[in-house]
Amino acid sequence: MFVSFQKAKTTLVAVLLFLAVTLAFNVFGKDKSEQQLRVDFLNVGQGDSILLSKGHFQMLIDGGPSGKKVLAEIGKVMPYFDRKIEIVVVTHYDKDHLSGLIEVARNYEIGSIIESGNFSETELARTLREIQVNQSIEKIELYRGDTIRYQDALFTIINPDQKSPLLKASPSDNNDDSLVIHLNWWQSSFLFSADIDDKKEKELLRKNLPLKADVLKVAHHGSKYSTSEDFLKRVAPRVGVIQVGKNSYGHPASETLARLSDLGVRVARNDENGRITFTCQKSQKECKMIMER
Amino acid sequence: MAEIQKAINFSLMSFIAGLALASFAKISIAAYLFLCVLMLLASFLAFFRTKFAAVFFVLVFFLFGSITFEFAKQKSYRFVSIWRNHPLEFEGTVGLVEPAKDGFKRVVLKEKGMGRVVVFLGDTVDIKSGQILKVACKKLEVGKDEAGQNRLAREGIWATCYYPHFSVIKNEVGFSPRFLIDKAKGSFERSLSASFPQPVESLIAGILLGGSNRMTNELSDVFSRTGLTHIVAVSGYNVTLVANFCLIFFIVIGFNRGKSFWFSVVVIFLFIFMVGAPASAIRAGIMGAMVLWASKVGRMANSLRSLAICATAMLTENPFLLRYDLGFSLSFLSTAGIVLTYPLLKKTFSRGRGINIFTEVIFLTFSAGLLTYPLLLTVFGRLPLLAIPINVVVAPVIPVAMFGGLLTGLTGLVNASLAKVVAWPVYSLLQLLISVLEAVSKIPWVNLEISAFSPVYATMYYAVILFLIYWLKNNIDKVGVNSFWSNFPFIAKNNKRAKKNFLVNEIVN
Repeated sequence: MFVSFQKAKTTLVAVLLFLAVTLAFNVFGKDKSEQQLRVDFLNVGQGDSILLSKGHFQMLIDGGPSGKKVLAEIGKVMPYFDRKIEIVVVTHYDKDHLSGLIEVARNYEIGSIIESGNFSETELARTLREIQVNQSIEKIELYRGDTIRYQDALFTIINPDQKSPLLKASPSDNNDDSLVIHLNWWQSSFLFSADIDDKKEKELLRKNLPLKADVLKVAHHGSKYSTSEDFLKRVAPRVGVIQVGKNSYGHPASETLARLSDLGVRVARNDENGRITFTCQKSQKECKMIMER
Repeated sequence: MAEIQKAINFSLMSFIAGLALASFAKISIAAYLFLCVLMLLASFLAFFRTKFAAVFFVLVFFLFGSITFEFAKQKSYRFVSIWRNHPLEFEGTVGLVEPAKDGFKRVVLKEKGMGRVVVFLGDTVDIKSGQILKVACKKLEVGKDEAGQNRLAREGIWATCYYPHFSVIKNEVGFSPRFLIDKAKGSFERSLSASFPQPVESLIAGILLGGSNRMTNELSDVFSRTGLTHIVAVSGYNVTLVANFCLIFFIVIGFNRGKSFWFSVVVIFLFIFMVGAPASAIRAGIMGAMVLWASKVGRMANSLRSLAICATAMLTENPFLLRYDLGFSLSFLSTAGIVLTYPLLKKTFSRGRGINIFTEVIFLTFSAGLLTYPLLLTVFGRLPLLAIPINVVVAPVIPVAMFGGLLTGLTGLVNASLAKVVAWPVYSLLQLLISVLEAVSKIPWVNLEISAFSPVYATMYYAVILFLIYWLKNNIDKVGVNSFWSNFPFIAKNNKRAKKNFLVNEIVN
């Protein structure tokens, strides 16, 4: 039980060195470049959660089914000293999209919440509304044709249509009214199609909307009722990301996987590949895909 | 004096044995009558031979032990039968609120004069202890079987409410001690989660506030595979080990043993306070403090009796603990392991020269695990093979994390930005620890599955280990450490005399 002064000094130097290295990693290691766009399809189990980062700006689309999971994922991705998510998007009020956002709102500062004007009286929706009011978070309702511009990134709302008769009428089944967002940044493009089904896809195909994207978030966890062949042909993605975990619904459906494979779309799945990250540079035509496993 | 001490030891052991027998087997009326006859016989024979007086007392305490359990069981039956016909809608005061698995909160509700009910609510609802709730359950269950009932009964809970609908009917919670503890804990927890990103926050909150339920299932699995769950679980194993790690930490940074003891006791009390002072943590804390005290006064070997007194008192208060509370058994076994083995190991390997800090941590982890692993193996069928080396490496991290977490939590109550700066070194350390553990837990053999390990093997293991400890202790005490180990030249390879004796024997043979 004898610790010499020399030993203590060595320990202190080792500790300081460790702290210096980790600080350097935290400050310089994690990307904070405004020149790069990063899109993380978070591994939250059976649900959707996507974090878009550009420098200190973050947009979180949905929060997945569990606060614990989404917080653990965000903690690994966001820089240590950044505790603000500028925009949170609630595509619709299903538990597997909304649940995790409650804990996100309790643990991170949120700039604004974007919704589609969909109305829900579930316990979760009420809780989120309470948090939003208590923390004075700005709430924005967006519809087809609306756009958000952050520096050189353009987000276009593809769905829902404000005139949709379903909107505010059927709170129980709001998949078709979920927010579909198209992102365009220099040569890169993404389509986040939430939980829409093939009927809605047909409607979107009829309208002249910007659907073409390099990366498609495959709708409704790869359900067989979504991601029709025509829709896929129009979007023409290079990669299709399926946000799926252990489930009893048979997601992703073999039919959907076959459609993707037939059109030569590379599939990345959260249940098999963990977190899926795309890093995009202004000068590069294709984003680099990194899979956790 | 020695005779009286022996009598006390035997009486305590027979009380625990009686209670254990009644917990694990059904004792018939005939067996009780037979026991009474034996008692009468012993009391009669005690007039001729005083030894039989001791037998009489052993039997009396054995009977006390079994009857204590039987009474508790009767009380449980009474409440359970009341709750079986209880209306599905009722009002109750919120007691302990804990995070539970799969997105739920475990809320204990107390109905006046009717005991407690457990209700699982979504983890997004904001419920505070002291509030009065009106609950309508779709189903009220009183435990699937007797074991299930008794498991709940150890917490004074008589039923579980399923699919509840609730409304808060009284919000003012008053200034009860529970309210104050919860308020302090709540503010502290919020401050922690605002400063530490996940998954580090779930780990540090687990270490400081107890419970692995804040962690994701994946992280919790990493900790269980590497034999580290105890650092985030409220059990005696945790408290005993953490308290000892703290003791060593304080000694290393320059305090003397006396001061380090008091600091460690303060850490234990803070820990109990922070976890919300549930009965399990108080029990664990008492046992942990006892080992520290024994270590301070240097009477570790004699504190087994104090441990038995402690356990007897706790079992009298709550007889269901022995069989239905794994935390209690682990507390008891880890404490007993340290009390029995640690001084022996120290004595054997130090040879009066003192041992270094790493060896001390290794001995501590080994002796705490010696008696607990067979139980864990029996219950879970898995053995974390690298638990001891991993614990040795992690040991110094725990007090640093506790101190850093505490400082961050308190700073966060004053200034959130400053807390982020204070949190950063601990965050980096724990992030590194998690990454290393995640990598280690992926090794296939790290968590060995031995599903065939039955209670019979465990009993045999305990019998052999206890015999070995007893034999070693007696022999070392009789002939002294050096001469004892000189009989085992391979073990005592640094002992010159042993080597010489060995060579002489070789030559002679």
